Amino acid sequence: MNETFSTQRFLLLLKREWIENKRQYLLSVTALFLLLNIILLLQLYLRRTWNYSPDSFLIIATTFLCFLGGTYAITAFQKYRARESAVFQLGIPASAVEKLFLEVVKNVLVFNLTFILLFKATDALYTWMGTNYILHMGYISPNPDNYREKQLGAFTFFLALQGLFIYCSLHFRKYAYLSAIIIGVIVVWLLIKYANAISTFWGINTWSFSNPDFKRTYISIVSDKDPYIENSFLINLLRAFYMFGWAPLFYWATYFKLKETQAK
Amino acid sequence: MIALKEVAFTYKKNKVIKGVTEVFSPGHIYGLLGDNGVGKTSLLKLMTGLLFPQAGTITVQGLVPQYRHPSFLRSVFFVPDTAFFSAISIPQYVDGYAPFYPRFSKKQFIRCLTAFNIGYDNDIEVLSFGQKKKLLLSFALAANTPYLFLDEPSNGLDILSKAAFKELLSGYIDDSKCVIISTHQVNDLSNLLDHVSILRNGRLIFSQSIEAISRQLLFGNETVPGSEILFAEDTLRGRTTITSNSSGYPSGVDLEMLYKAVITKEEKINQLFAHTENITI
Repeated sequence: MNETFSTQRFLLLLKREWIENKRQYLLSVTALFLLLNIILLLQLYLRRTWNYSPDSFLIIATTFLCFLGGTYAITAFQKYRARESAVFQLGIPASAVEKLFLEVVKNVLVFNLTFILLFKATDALYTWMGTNYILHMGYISPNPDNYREKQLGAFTFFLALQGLFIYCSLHFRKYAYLSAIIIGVIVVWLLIKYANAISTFWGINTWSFSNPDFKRTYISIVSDKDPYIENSFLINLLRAFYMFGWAPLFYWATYFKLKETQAK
Repeated sequence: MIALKEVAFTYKKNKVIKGVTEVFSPGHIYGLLGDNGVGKTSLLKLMTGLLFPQAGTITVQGLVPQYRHPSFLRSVFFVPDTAFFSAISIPQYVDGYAPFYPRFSKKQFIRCLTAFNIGYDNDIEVLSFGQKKKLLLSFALAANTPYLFLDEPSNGLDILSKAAFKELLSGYIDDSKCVIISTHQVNDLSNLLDHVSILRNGRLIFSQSIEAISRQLLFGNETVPGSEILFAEDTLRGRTTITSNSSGYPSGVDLEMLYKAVITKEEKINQLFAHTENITI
């Protein structure tokens, strides 16, 4: 018997999860779609301009994603924290990898994909309304150069944050949400403060964290010529690591934490 | 077989288990007796991998519980004092959890539920505390795991359900299964156990089979002339005593009396068993 990972056992965990929470999941998807629309309409009403701006919606959706995704991620291992429920969760005949993978699938795959899908659906709906002047709604085009890069940047930041919240959901028995927020703020503050030190450490002075573009980097010192230079493979590799490496690091830490979790 | 060797466990600087060494073999129902807070639940959790020992070793069928390998987890079932369920129906619960236990028998599960007077189609949410406990006990028995750990199983059960539980459990045990029951309500388990272990302040102070106890001790209202009284108590039915059994015939065992005797006269009782081979049934 494979003691680390078995697809059959994982599917059993998934089935059990669906049986126990299907009603909540279906209600949550509906509520999420309605909430996105309500917030978007509220923002349009408050700005007193009946023009849909994808740039503004992205900012709203990212804020909303961080808040909602963080709240959902902090409940990931809630049942492992309380003594009564921990006895049942830890006793289920499945490995720590399978139990962690279930939470990652729920949070990272299902939640994020659902949110992206709902975001895209709402965005498409209002873009169509705005461009066709339906209900007298106007449309403010986003900056085509960096709109997609902005989306990617926002999402990678959220992925890292989500990973941290998943870890905190298991690590802290009390005040997990508050602790995760405090740690998140400290990590982001440290990153902002020492971002330049990282590129200096790797000896790539042309690389900037504030540049979301994977193809090229903006260098202001050569303003008389083309202000952009092509990114090297090394730069992109490091960027990918700093953008996508955080979340797996937190999942890895969660795995070890889960292995040593006891029903105390 | 479950083997514990010099197992120690500390919780919040409090030494809950202190150097416990014991062996639990299949084919028996073990009673783990002790006052509240002496470490009974901790010991069960250590054996099921829910707690990790700070010292000593535990093996269950050669596997180390704290690794919580799936092959280990599917061979044990722990029924805690408090049942925890999601807001689903009983058939949904079976659909979700039974596939994890390869020897689970739905027929047996329904038989247990019927014995406890619980309908199969009920929503778990509407069940009372006692009914939830009975549901969990039914599931545990139907899971047919080689090792079953029950923590205060009679808590929350009514008189008829206690009788039903005893009947179901005595029908459950066979040569391949081992049941360990922790309780402080010793009378609820009379005629059910075939081995008694008593914990006090985290130490195992007494561990004998019922067979050995019945051959060594005589429980009764009358004293045999010349035999030393090991423990005596005045009750409404008169004076009850425990003396050494020199009759050569096994005596009925009063678990409550035995427990009180071991707690108050630990050394004396254990001395009596010191040179006796532990005869298992």
